[in-house]
Amino acid sequence: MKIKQITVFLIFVLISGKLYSQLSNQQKTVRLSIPEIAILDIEPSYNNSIYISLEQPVKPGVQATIQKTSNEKLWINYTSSLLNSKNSRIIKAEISGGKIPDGIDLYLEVSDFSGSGKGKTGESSGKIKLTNYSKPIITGIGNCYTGDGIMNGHSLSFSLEINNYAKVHSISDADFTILYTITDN
Amino acid sequence: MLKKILYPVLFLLLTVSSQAQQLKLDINGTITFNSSDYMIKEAGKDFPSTINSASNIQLSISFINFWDKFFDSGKKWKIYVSKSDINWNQNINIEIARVGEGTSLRNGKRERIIGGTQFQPILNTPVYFFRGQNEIFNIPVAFKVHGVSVTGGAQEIESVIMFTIYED
Repeated sequence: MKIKQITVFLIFVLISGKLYSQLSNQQKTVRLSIPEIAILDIEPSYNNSIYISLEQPVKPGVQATIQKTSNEKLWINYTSSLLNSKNSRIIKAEISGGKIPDGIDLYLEVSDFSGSGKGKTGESSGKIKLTNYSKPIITGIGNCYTGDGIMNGHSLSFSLEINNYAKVHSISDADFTILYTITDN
Repeated sequence: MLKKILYPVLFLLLTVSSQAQQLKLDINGTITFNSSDYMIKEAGKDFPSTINSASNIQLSISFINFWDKFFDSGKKWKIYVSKSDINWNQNINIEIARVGEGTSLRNGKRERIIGGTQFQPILNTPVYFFRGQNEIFNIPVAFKVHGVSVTGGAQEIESVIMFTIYED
């Protein structure tokens, strides 16, 4: 009887010695605040001017030739992060400086998105006539990034069209600045 | 008959209670990330693929009872870590690593700390982090997050990181 009692006692001693208990716990909160972002730029970032010239016709009675003396295509890159994913943003363009010579229209054609970006990139508005009033060129921009540099985002192609020959007259260089703005829709 | 059951149970209770709560875990510091890491400086880019914590926290393991410093100084322990999400984006992973040895009052004579030096993901279930022996103070712990993207939109994400110390 004594042996049994001692055996039971020893078993409990052994078991109790093997019990590993949780001693203490502590906690810390981790927070990340991911902000709203709306940023765009034009690539290439250096010398992104476009030169277009109106050359005199080679023969009398033939319309003037429009030449793009810089072949470089521009690209628009953007990054957008919205608080509410149901909302969207647009990019508008306008002539913010200078004046387009009389009788001539300046057009901007925006391509569909291509490149290394991800997310809900915007949709091109196609070809629009640039004026002093801002017009949407890319719409429906959600949470996305286009990728950085040329060949990312949307390409921008500019063209001149003569709308009224009667008003076209010889001028020296006419410079104008195009302003792009990304805004909440 | 009563004695047969009573004695072992009493002994069990005594031994368990004597082992429990001998060590405690304390945390100093806060887990912060630089807001500048969440700024896009170049249009078209996303956030960096990995963002490191701007400040570390320090874990300290110490005896609750003063006399245990002398009579139970070989005490071994292990730490587990987990997270409990308050508002978390499942595309974002958070990792943790021990980035130092901490300090001890006895110049490391009987202190030991093993593991946890490689970044490992923090899951919603407890996972082993590192183990050690005796009192060690201010063990620095760093964090990093992966998968933060503008494609997830502007958001506040929050989780509670839980550390639990067990006897080893």
